[in-house]
Amino acid sequence: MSWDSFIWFAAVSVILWAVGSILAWTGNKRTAAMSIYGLGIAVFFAFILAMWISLERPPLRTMGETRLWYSFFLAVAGMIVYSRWKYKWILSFSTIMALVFIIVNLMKPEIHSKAIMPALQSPWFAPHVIVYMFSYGVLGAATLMALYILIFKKGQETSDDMATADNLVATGMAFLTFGMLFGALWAQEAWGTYWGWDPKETWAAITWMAYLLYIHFRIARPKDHQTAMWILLLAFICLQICWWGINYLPSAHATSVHVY
Amino acid sequence: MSLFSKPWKLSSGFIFGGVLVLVGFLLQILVGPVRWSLLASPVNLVLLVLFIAFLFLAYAMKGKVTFFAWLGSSAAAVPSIACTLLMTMIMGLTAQIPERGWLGNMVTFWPFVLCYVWLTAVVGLVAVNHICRLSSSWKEIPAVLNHLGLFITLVCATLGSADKQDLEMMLKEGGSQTVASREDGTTVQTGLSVRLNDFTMETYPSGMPKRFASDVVVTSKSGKEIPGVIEVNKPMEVDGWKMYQYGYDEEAGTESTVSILQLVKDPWLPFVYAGIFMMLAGAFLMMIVGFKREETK
Repeated sequence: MSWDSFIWFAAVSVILWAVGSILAWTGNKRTAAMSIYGLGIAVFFAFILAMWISLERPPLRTMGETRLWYSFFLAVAGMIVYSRWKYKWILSFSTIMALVFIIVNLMKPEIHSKAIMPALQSPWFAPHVIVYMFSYGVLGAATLMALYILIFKKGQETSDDMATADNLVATGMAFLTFGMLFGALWAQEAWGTYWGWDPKETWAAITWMAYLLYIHFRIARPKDHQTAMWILLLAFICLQICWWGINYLPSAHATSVHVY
Repeated sequence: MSLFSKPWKLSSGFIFGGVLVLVGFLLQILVGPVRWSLLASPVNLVLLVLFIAFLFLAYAMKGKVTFFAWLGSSAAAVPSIACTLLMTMIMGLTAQIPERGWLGNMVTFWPFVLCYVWLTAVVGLVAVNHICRLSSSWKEIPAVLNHLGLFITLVCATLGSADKQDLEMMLKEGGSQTVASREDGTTVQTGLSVRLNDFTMETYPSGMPKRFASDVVVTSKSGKEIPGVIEVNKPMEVDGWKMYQYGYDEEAGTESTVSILQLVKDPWLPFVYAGIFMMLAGAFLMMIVGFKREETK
């Protein structure tokens, strides 16, 4: 399997996701919507698995490969939210977000060989990146929730809306913690330093603390929804800097071992 | 009452943070950057005992002293996280090159360090609060693990950094070595004798490195000879020294007959690990409880 076949798998997935999303809007066909949407996820995952097998390593090394997982986990997160909280719009949104990353991959395919540098040849590699991508997916859904509350609800949000944002952050934050600490344990095995303030690590800490700020702000000022949602947006910006923005930061370029 | 005092408490936290940053600036000017090496054992142990004693004292007196009641509350958590976040952002936006002055070396910059100390005090006090409530409710377990785990990790990583030995040992094929050098160039007797039998470097057809490995025999303090292969991501441990594949003669490339090992001894590491595993368990529980809380609503 190679990137050449990606467009076919992606097209089938996106069509299935679109059909599932439309069914979700009708309101009374939830099982059908979820089955078709889930099938789209399965097709997408089949491509990831096939890449994994043909590359003889998990497809996690390049930005292109991590975008693959991100699209996948966005769809998964969208489906989890839909199954739990029944928002009609969430499947459409996660489909559009996943589509954006698919298009980026089609326009700018970062095709790479089987080569993988020694530092990345570790059992920690796959769990480190996969839990991070899952967390990014869930926190992406939390960001959508924040935009939905800020733009469409404008102070009319229910406690259920807020609980959705809180629960998405709790899940995303748990996985963010796994990702960061797996990274620390891995770094200890690879370099003898669990934390070295490498720019990627610094931004991982910033992202983690930004979501920590959201959680504690919700406890300290439960009624100030607006500020909480703005913190959530700020946290997502930090997350983006940590994930790919760092490659464009002059401060990081000089000193990071994480810039590929 | 609490409705009126809450906003005041939150904003007073930001004022406290501002004062802390100012104090940091003053210290930076008066005594210069933080010298972490001064914390080497036993200074760090004394500080640890004093810090924990302070936390229990603060807990005991929170009914009498408003400041201590505030320090262990979410009204202190929010500004302490925000201030620490801001300091870390400054670090993330400035290249960390010590020659570039204060902001190029944030880990020794007093305002940065004081914000982290504040955050650690808050997280420690919150941990004590949750621990003391543990007997009445098992629901405190995730919060205890999260806060105590972070507290242990932060404290042991920071105080322990002065006791950590991080050395480089250069080996030549066929030769033995007993000394290693610090970052500043001074040398240390490691108590080990390391003989390099062979250094191997494999590359992909593109020339990209695929594998580095040092085939060594390590003689321990007690005279025991231990053969082993050290690779990237596969360190070897003898007498408390962790030995990592670190470098080679880059000009010679695959023909290199020189291997550089990194030798690390970090007596505080087991405690840092304990903290990390508590946080992992806490994060896992937070995820489950977060969902459960939703279901019971």
